[in-house]
Amino acid sequence: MLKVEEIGLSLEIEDMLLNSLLVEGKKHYPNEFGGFLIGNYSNNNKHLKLTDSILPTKYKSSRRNFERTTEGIEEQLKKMYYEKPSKFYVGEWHTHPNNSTIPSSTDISAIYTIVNMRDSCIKNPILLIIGYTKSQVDFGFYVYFNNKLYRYE
Amino acid sequence: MNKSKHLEEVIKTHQITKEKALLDKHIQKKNEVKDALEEKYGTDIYPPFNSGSYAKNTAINTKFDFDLVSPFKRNAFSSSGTLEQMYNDVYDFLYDKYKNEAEVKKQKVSIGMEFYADSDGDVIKIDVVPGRELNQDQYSDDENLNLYVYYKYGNFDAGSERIKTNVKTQINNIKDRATNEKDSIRKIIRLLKVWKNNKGNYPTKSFFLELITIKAFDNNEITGNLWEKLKVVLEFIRDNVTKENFTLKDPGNSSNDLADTLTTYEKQQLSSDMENMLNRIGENDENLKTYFPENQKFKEEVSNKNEYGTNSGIPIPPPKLNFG
Amino acid sequence: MKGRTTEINTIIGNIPDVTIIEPFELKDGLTKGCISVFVEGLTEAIQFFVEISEQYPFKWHDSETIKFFNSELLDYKHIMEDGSACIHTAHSPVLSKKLNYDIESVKAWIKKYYINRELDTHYEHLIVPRRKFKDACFAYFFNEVDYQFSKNQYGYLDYSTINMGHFHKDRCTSSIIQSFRNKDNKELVEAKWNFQIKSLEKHIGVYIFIENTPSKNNRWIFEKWGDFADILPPDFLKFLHFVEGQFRKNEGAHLPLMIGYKITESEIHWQAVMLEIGNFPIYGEKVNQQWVSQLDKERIIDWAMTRDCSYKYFFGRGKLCDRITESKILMIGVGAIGSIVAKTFVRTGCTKLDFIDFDVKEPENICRSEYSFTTGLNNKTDDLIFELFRISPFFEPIKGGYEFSETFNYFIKSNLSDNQLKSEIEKYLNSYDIIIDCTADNDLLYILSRLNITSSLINLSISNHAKHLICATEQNRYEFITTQFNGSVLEFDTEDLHNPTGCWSPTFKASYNDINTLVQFSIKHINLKMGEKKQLRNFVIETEDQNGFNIKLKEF
Repeated sequence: MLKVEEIGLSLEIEDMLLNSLLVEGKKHYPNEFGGFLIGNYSNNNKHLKLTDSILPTKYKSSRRNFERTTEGIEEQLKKMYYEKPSKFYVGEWHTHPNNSTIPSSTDISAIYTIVNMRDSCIKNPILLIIGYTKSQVDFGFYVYFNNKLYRYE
Repeated sequence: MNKSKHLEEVIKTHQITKEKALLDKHIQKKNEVKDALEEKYGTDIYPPFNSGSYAKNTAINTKFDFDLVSPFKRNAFSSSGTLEQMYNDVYDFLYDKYKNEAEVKKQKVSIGMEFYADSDGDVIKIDVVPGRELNQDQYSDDENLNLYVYYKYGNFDAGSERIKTNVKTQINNIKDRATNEKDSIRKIIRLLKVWKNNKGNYPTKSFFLELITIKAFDNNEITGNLWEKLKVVLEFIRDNVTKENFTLKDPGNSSNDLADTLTTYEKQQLSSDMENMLNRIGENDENLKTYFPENQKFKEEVSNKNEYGTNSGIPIPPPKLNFG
Repeated sequence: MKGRTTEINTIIGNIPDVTIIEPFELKDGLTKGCISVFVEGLTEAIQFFVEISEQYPFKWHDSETIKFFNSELLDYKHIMEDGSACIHTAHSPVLSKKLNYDIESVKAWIKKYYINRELDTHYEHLIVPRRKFKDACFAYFFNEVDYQFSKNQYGYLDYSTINMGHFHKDRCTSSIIQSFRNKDNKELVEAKWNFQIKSLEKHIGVYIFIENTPSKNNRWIFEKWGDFADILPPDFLKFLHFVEGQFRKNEGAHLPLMIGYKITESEIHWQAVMLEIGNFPIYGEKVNQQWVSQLDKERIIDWAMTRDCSYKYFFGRGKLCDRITESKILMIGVGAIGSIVAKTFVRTGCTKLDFIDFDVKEPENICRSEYSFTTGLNNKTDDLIFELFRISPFFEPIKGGYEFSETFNYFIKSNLSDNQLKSEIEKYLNSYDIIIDCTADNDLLYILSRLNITSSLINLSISNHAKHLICATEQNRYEFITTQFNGSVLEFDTEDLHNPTGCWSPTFKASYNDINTLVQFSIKHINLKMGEKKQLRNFVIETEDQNGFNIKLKEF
């Protein structure tokens, strides 16, 4: 389980799911790749369980940029929301090939875009960055909370 | 942002009970100093007592005011002894006794002792305020004391022989109001102390803030939530402190005017600080946090209340999003 | 043109108390005439020959195009070398108005300097004609030294050439006086210049302190060596003769002689004269069987230009308040904001500045900071010190430099729970009067806010596009800055921070103009507060560019 001590929020993700994201990401080497993170919160809303990922069907990517759209995934989102237990969109993930898991300014502004959407869909989006090289992998989980980005440890 | 909610959190994270261990150390050290004074001066001294904010129920945990008032008999330093002799004698005694474990220095009307950090890194500060009864054996009747002014204190000149006051009345006056009107006066005083402490070395005495808060309450119909009450007090200070006829009577001696503890410039500064603060908070609620920050040390408990925010309905991602 | 001449005659003829003695006529491209001007208090009117050039009523090369001459007035104040009165008048494009203004000024001159013989409150330097020496100009800069010269004291001096440039069309060599020695070549005093200037190659000159002004009327400097005949003592002439012999092998080379005199009770001025080795203005004469050096009395003196660069004159036209300029200042972070602050401080009179930064200046830094291209990749601290040396001869970095920066960073970011180390750092930082942090480094901000610092500590940072400048000056700096920057107080977009290729630390986007506007505004505010001895408060400078550019100061 990963935690942000300072704000008392936690998160969990199955190794299987995490590994599958890495595999998908590496398929696009040397370009970036990513998708939507799906999950649900515990009863007291202090713990987040990541359960699935939806991969975008329409996207553009290069070594230093990744742009995804929501085209063609709306149905899946709806279906998961009505499942029991309900699962929904909680954040985004993408890779940094040959680089660190530190969010770039574009990543930070993406997070601002999510929270500033008119019908603010989620208040505390998760950002997962997979930084990898041929021999190493690092996962950086972040949450936006009270105007700041916190990293889970 | 809910301003009153934030202010409540500020008060909560500054509660003195949160620093139980440090408070106990202060109380213990205060008793030690008290015993030392009684042992040294024997029958020349009445029992020293604490007059700081802890005694007045207005303390905050980022700054402990422990003022140990030491009432001396009129003839303690011979019948022709001066207040200056009293002040220096107490200083010499404390200096000799504590020089190896504390920095002992002369302050406006007191002798400050700052003990070097202990193994926990805690620093204990105690101010000893020497005072002398007006006539031999009169203290038990009227509790009046004369204090010595060591260096310039607002409009009081250095070396002034006396500020006559009744410390017990001072304490009781504030303690009564602060306790009886704890949801208003006590909270506002604590907030103003947080503000003052946050400003660093601010010339306004805590006692001044306590009295001016009470005066604001006496002069205004103060109702509403915590922020609304605070706002009226801030406005009162802004509008009144620079007025020529503004006075703050010392409840211990009505001929002492606490307004005299600030110079004209310091009063102007206080008024303009209030004005800036009100304007900035008026422009943006978030600025309230700059003036009244929570005590980060105890914020963790508060963080237990944090949760992931949810909205009703299906969360929809932004249609197009760019990552770098 | 004839119409213009007639017009001039008519206008001047109608001005009260002015009489035309010789009517204006066009001669050699100038309209010339003679008038007399009367002012109450005169026994009789004063005559002036008047010359009006074609450009009149407009100025030409920044000087008036009308001149009023009377060579008998040379001894009066504000009369130029050619005998014309120095008048400052209002502008008007209308001939009649301008003539009225100018004559009004002449009347004012008469009243002030002829009738009342007023002395200006400031000292006026002797008038020294600018002459070339062997086809070039020479200028010597000196500054105040801690030494009391006695009358007729003479000796050697060291000077260094700082640049060879041009004065209009002439070559011009500028040099500074480094130190004074006695006649036995022992150093007496060094001038107060910065380290870099002090280390320039030195040449030899000579000086004599004559105490009294080398002028007959306190207006014009002596013209011929003969004017010095009763002033320069024989042993000084002997000394000159000796010096000339000493440098015989450099025949034809120049050697400056500085002549010093008092301009007030406590202040002295030096005026340079050019001497040529092998052609000094002295000759030998046998008197009573002995050779004696005599002055070549008819020789014209080759005066050179001299400038007093003492601190009070160098910063005479404007500086920050003493509380800032007399401070020992530490600047942490000399990027865009820091380098602008540093340069502004040095230009406005600060002399004691240290720098901490371990960045290297890259070409892309130059467009919005005070660095130059030609020094290439270079440690920012070293590069900046070099830039500042060039600006102020008084700038003297105490520490600064790259190695100092590394040591500092190591100490400040090491374990602050070590109380001993913590108090050493505090002691060190408190030896500065002012500390300015322009790093926008939150770690450093946090550490600084946890230290017990008694110096004035000022943190300066700027938001993206330089929409805001945030300045923290109070103890709650950490809380203040983080509240301002966490996005909810100031509204600015982090959308397009500048993302340099292949680099993951984004920087804010703003031009030199954007940043400098805010930095200067904030320095102005800080200077005002400190000058009035008021407490500094945290502040934010907000800008608005919807309806033209507006700046608003918000004090906290």
